[in-house]
Amino acid sequence: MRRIVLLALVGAACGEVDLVAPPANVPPTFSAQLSTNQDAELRTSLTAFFDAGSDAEGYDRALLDSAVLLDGVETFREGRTQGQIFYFLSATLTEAPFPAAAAVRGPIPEGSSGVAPSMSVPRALRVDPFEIEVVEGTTVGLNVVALPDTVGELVGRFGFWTLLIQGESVPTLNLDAPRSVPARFEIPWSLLGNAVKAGTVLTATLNTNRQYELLNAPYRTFVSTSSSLTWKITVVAPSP
Amino acid sequence: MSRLAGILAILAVGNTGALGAQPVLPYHDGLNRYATTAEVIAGNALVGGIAAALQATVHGKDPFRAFGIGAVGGLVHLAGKNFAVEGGAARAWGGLLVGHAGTSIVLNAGRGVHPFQELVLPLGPMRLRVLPRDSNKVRASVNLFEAGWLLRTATRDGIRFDWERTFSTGALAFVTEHRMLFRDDEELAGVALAPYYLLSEFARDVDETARHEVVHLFQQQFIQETLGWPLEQLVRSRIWRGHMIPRWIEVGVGGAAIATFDHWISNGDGLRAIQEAEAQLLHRR
Repeated sequence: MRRIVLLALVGAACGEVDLVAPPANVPPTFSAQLSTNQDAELRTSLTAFFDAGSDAEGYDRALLDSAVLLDGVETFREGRTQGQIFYFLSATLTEAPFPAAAAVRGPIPEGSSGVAPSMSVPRALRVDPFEIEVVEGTTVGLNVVALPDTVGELVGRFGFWTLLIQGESVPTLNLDAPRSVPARFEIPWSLLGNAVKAGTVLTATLNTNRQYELLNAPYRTFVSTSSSLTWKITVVAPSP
Repeated sequence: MSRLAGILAILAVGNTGALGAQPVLPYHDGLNRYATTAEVIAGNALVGGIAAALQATVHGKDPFRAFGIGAVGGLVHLAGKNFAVEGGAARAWGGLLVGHAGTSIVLNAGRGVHPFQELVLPLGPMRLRVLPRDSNKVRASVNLFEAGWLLRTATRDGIRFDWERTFSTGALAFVTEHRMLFRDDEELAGVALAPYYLLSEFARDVDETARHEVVHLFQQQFIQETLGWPLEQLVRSRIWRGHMIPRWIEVGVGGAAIATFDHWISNGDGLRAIQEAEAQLLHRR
């Protein structure tokens, strides 16, 4: 009997819960990610997360306007849980020219003077058409709308890019760098390997990511923009 | 005696956790997925059958017959649980009656008596035992362990009794007041400690958490009544002056001891994880 009682008491001790006062005056935070996928068309999406923080009593901060807008369109809400809201919106654009930036507006919590963080978030875009031709033996040039380090009050914090060139029966070339994407990539023919000949079809995929913080925002606001750009490259024989 | 307690505890693993709790995030440690409906049905039948067969073995009754009837009792218990969390006071109280009818069937199957020889109904820390075939048809007792827990919680600062939720869920409900719930640095949305459940005012979905914890209460009371209470009766009959403990007193530590033993040998990945999976499935119905 003693053992059973002892076990039960251990269990009871383990079952004890702590009651903790909620943290007060936690500032709100908004973070958004703009994703762009460009091949023959452009697909873009915004995912965002808003933490309302807490008021002086530790309760969720009330919101004057909970909407998040992408280019003026209200995003879908995933539901509010413990003062945290997830947002999502996606769109497909089929006709060029595609916009090189998207306007994002965050929610307005109580105590932020009724001002929402607003920003024009840049996106890396392909300047070249989706299908390009490259003369065998020459440098492959890929042109993009580069992401600047600073855009208005958006200050860059971190960025990287990776470039993948692959094709059937040819070795894959993978290049990357922990910095902003440049406006032009020049890939020497020698890097593509001897297997690449006239008639070979290559696919180049450039993935970029850049993170920014919005200065002078009513509350801490972060945004990252990532793009996946694709080229279809056909290698042609030099003119005789 | 200690061997018997060990066997009961091992076989109880997966049936209940005296310390059922819902973390803020839906997935619990050790729980990789939600249980399927088929798994929950099979699990309740199996646990009911095993609980009855174990007790029958101890009493020298036919364990196979007890297993069969106990499995039916487990399914009736599940039906009650399922009904109780569908929402609304009528369903909650109806589910409570059906669920504990299932518990009673398991208990009686283990004793080798008529399935409705004794009907047990937990009312908070009280136990109402109805014996239709007995001259003394109603017997009331108090579970000291549960009463102690209840007293401890009711007198803590930052917790209030929730009358409305108690009525609508058929189980004693407490809610924190301007307090978050933590255990081992993990924030909890709620916790069930039979005979009551405690909800965090900061739970992301208080109603869903309440349904979840009610399922845990059913599980805990099932294990206490079908394994813990028979174990206690056996111990009381064998220890010196055990018979002097009044019948209206139930020490009530059997279920908690079994759950603790389960947690100890499985590190929370045994029956407690299975219980959690069942609660996750049922509270969404």
